[in-house]
Amino acid sequence: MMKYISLLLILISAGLVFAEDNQEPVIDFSLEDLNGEIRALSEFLGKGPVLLDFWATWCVPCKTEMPYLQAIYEKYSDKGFTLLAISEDTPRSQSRVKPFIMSKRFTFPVLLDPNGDVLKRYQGNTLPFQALLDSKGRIIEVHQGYTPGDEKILESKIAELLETEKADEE
Amino acid sequence: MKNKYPAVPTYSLVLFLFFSNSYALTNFSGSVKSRFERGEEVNPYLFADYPNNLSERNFFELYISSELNTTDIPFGGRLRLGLRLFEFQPSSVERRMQGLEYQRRLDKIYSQLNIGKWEIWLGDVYETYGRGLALNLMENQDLYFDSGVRGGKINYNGGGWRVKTIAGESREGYLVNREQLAAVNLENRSVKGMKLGLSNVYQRGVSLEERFTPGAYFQIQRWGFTLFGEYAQTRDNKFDELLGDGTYLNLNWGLMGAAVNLEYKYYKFGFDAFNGDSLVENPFRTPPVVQREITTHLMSEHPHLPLTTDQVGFNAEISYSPWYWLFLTSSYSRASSHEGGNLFPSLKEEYKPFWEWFTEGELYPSDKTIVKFAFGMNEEARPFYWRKKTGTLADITYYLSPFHSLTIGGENMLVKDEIYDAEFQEWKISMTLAKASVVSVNFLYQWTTEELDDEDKEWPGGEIAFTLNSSNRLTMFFGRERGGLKCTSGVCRPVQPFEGLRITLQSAF
Repeated sequence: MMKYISLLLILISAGLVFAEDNQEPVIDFSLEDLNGEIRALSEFLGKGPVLLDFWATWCVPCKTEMPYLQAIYEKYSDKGFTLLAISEDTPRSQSRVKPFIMSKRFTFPVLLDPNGDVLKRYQGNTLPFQALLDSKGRIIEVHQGYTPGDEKILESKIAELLETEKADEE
Repeated sequence: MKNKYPAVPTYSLVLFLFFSNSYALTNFSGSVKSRFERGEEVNPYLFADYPNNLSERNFFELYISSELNTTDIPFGGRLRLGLRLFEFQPSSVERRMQGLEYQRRLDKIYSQLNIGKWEIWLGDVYETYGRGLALNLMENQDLYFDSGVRGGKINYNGGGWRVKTIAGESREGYLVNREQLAAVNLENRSVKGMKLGLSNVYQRGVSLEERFTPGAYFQIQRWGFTLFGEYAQTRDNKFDELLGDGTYLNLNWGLMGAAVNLEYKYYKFGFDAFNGDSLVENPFRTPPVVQREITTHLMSEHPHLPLTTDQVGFNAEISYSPWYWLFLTSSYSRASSHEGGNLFPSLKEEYKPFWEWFTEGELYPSDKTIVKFAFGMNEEARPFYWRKKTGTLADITYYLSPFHSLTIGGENMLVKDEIYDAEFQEWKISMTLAKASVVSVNFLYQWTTEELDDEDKEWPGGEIAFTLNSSNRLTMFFGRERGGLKCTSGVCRPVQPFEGLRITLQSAF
């Protein structure tokens, strides 16, 4: 079996050398939101940077950071920034996600990743985990864990990325 | 567990990584998670009091994951390839208690192809139908629990319909037997705010008879309300004998600043699998727990066990944020085994009753200060166990500068043992100094007034966590840690008391 895997990897490697560029994001995914609608990452791309914030209702540091993320979202959303909060709650605790978001008055979009598949795609091993994407969906930076003050560093990176993308457009 | 999967030859991996990284249409990513422990742990097989029951602990685990995503495929769509290498060296106590063995293997390998409305997977796959009463395949690395199967799945998603099919074989592991599994799920979302799903799961174990688990679920969302219901039953291969069933209901309502969440469970699936010498629950089914799993740290160290075999219960939770600087949550849970056909949990001792009331709050008195407080009470009775607990917690974080913070926390738990007519208290204090995205230093001290023979009554410890850069985190712990039952998402594993050094590295690139 390993021979076939090796062969497959070599063939794909060779194919990549002759590939042609296009504008589609390399990583895309579809998840259910809190209204039961299926939403794809590609729907949120193209306007500006996107921050994927992976969290769970049982993760205390994740919940501590979220009010600061809401403030960042309010400050930069009209400039093209999008925050996607991706809940890693399994079916065991999934019912708590919507009440938590509503009672905290958070207004950013929330998606459900009950199998942790999207977290795995961005190589997250712990919560909270964040991936900052540019408007084409390319990963600019990932961040693990939370200590107070991290939100200020994150905000400066988002502002910088917005500036860079604006300059590129001009 | 044998070393069954040899590593992929190095040369092909090198070629693969080199070219995959070199092109914009393709994204290559990876992660490393490693844990090393050196010290001593309580060995229950020494049959001696502390500290004569300690034996050496040498533990190591390493996960190296990598994934390639590309849109450069001849027939369009997206291709995803992933693999994970795993090395694991359990301690001598874990080898004996849980039958774990040294392993080094290609742990996971999978490919996913998305073309239009179709999604095709081959390799190691996971899946969830509804809220998991019929099927929920999941992995929890902290508990070494993995109910995923090696096989394939084909999903279709379009026109308001979603069809999910999966087939494969599980790997024998903690709480999991080697079983063949095939399942199908049909879900309709044609009407806005509604979904309706039907599913059937087929299982065939090495020594168990064939079983089918048909199930159905619905969700309705209107005027801020969400109502979800699911029912599943397990039948034998001829469909003529009901082996067990379960029902779950959830109603929640939320408007900006307030929310109510009501849950109800009626699980009577029974034990239907052998794992080693023990009867265990079906590991491919992990439905909602219908209780708060995390309350105060001390109360959560000895959790009530949610069971799908024989348990009825409910949970009611109210959350309210009158102002942006105050947030309050209060919940009440009750559960017991079934008292005949009674739809509500019993409080009679023979039905293993449990109740818990828990309230917590967050206060933001200024831009520089966060205060958290909590109060909880619970009572649980089961054979040879009947305890009442009252816990309180307070935790203050103060920003010394925009990037420096100090957190001080304290916690108490009063425990009344009704069987031995005894009373004792547990305490935990902690202090953390942190510089954002650079380092955090944590000291903690926990002690109890309970008479313990098999472990110490004090647990001091210190932890330092370095953020080497945004994607690398190194944590070092030195001290003594209390043993107990470690539970996440309803899956639990006993952990022995430990004293020594632990180093953890987590990287993503």
